[in-house]
Amino acid sequence: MTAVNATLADDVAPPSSSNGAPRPRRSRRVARTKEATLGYALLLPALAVFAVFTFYPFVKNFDLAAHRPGPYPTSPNPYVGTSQFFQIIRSGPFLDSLRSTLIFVAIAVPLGLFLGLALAVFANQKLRGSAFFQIAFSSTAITSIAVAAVIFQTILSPSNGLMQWLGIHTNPGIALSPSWALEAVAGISAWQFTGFSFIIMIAGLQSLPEEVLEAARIDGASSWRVFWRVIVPLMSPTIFFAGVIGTIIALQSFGAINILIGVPNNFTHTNVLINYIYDEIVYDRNFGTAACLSIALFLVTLLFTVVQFRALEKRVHYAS
Amino acid sequence: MAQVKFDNVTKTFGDVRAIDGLSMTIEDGEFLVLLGPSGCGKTTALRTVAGLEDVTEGTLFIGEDVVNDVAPRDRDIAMVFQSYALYPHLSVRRNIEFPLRQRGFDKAERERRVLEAASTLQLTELLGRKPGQLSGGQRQRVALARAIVRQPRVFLMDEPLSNLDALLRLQTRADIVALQRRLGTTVLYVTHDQVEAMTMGHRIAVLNEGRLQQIGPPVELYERPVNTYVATFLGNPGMCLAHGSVLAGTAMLGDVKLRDVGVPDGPVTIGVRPEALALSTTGIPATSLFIEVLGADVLVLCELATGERFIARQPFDAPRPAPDEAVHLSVSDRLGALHLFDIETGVRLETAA
Repeated sequence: MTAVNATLADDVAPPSSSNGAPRPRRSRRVARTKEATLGYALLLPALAVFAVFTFYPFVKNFDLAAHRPGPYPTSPNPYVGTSQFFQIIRSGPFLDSLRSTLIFVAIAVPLGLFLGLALAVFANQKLRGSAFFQIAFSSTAITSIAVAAVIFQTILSPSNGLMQWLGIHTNPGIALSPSWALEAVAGISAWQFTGFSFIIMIAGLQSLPEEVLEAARIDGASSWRVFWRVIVPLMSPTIFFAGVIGTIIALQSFGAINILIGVPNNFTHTNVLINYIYDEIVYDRNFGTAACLSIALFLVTLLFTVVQFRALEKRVHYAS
Repeated sequence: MAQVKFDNVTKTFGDVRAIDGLSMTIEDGEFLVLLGPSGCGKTTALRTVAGLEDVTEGTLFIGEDVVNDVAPRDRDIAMVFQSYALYPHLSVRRNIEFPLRQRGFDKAERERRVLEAASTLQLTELLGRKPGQLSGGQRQRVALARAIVRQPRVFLMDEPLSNLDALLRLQTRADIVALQRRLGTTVLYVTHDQVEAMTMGHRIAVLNEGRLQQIGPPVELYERPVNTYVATFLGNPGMCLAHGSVLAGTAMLGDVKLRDVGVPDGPVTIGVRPEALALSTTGIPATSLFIEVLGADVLVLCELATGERFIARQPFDAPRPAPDEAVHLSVSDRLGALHLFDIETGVRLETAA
């Protein structure tokens, strides 16, 4: 590498000065070392931040997972290798939590994708006021999840919310209901993801080749068919991208559950993995378990992403 | 198959009148070329026929039907776009089949028609490919196949050749003309290329700033342009124009008598095509500026005493002047070689010669 670079540098170097060759060569090497030093110096702040907040915790997490905490804070944490991890991922609470997580993702992501695309198609019409709708629909993406959760809490409240006003009486409240709480929170996450997916979708729609859509209209396709047979396939890279990102976000979605369901979250049905990890650390001080759960969540996320790429990318049409 | 009729059609975008009171009829089975520079409204006119733009005023007919408010898919037309607008996610076969599927043709009929269209346009080998795997010329043929497969009443073509290289354009031009002759379908063809217009259309309609300038067979437009706009737009290079006058019934350029024209005396614009000008020993005095050897012909760009410029098209083997040489230009005495236009309006003045 260095040798090649040196040769290239020699090739393009201007003719050396009249009094001899070695001097410029040395100064070139010095210059290159200087340049490299400057490069590393500029990278250093970013590397330091990553090291402290990403690389070290990532490695430390594996270390934590490999040690089983003793019964008391002062007791030793013996090294147990992978046994703690495999024990946890076979346990009932983990499998319940995984199930809740998958249901949560399965509701939030497709719903958010579909709503985002549908609203984007609507707001992309060249109609009066479409700019207003573009802002309105994308606003959910920039609403703080805390604010959103409080709004939905009010809407869903059994005593003074919208539900009561509509004459729907729920007992217990939806947020506490074993059958509806997870769906409700997934719905709120979908609502928020809709804004994000809307922004991506409308950008995708606006870059579609106009003439292809016109050709489809002339060729006899109804609006519905233009949407399904032309827009959706042409949008597939965008939908795919939004789906992968949305899944990663949903797997780590915590705020809505934490605020709406309350802490500590003792309800099995809403105990998604990220919440499980949080409870293990904050309430049970169970770092070994939390670390194992984190690795499990990491693997689930990785698996989802790989599967999405493998299964869906074949169906994605990248325009040439 | 059907005629297309514009009856005083106007299309405005805000304050801009893209088409201004256009009235013309494209006859059943006719190949009509809409010609004009970019921004003249020719593509807008085509898009109103397609239904992609609505008509602001006036009436648009396809066959007997008023189509002002008819959706594109119900107009029974097909369009070839400049960009070809193929469906990138579908194979060539599915692209050609798309219009048939939308209209509920059964499978056997679809298959028969796709194969027929594919063989007409030599696409049979390529049916399994995606548009991304095709060359420009092949994509263009797929777009044509998709247009003919449904046998619509009218073909609309929006500069379909402009993305092809010169050689392929020449060949495809001939292919499209042959195809239209065989199918006999009405064609409305938009181009800014006057060579395409001259060679392809039964008739040409020249548009400028949204208004129809002249409509007629290519030769008529070339020989008898109705105004200076059409005269200079058609022909390569276009007609040469200069300020002249008519004195006692004789057309004069400076003090050189050209010929008796039988037009009332007064100032006029004189027009001569490059091929009707020849370098000679007598005639209009000029200075040669620039000599362009094209191969078969040589173009000699000359400046008249008034500063106006004439181009003479000379045979390859004719003697060539040097640049900046004093020369004389003579106008062919062929009937119709000399054109006169109103000096104010640019409208053609009919001459006796």
